[in-house]
Amino acid sequence: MSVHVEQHGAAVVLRVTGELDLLTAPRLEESVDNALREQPQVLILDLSEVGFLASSGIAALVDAHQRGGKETEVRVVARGNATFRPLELTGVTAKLAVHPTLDEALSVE
Amino acid sequence: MRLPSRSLESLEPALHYRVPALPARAATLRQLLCEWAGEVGVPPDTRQEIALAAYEAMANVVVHAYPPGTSGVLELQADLTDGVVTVVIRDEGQWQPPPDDPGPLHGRGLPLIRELSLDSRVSPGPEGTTVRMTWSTTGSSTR
Repeated sequence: MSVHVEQHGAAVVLRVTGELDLLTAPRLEESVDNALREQPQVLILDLSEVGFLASSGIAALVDAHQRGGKETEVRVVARGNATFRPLELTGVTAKLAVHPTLDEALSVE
Repeated sequence: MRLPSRSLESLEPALHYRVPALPARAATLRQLLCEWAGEVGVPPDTRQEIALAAYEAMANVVVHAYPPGTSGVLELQADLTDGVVTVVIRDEGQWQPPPDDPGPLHGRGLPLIRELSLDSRVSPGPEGTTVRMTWSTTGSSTR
């Protein structure tokens, strides 16, 4: 699992590649911590290149959303069976802003 | 009607591993299980369901079965019989009943196991906990 940080205007994008599970979720949490320190307006967790998402990874997304609080709006990019489906099955899509593509997540008003 | 594939399927090797209950081992077993499912002809969508549900059961063993600071056994068994994949995850620890309100960061593993499998059963016992899950390889039964 690796995380690449990009700045898109007022949004910070964390592009995650690999698998999000018990072993790797703490590293995403670390990247989220670093990103939130700058208090960006928007933080996008892009899971387009994630091939496996376990509940420990889902917890990291929910945790990011909570820690973003009022300062930072957290959005998730997820599509397909590997990432969107687990989010949907656990009801997380009702709580977090989940978009199918990074472009859509970036173009939200 | 059920004759043709049975003799072939019964030749497929079943899977059985006993490893220390550690996060890295759970990830390795997930990969081995996925490869095995591919080799015995389980369709990709079902393979994904198997990998996630089995991983959640294994993650529960790694995180909850043994007291903090200790480790124990994590066991994985899988086989394919008559078009049904059965995956069994076993530990020799103590079942921890999920709290009524696990909070926003926990409590998603067992619901995922239930949603992703055709059938699942968690059997806690004095000698450990067994989670048994099944899938149909014909692909028509879950969705």
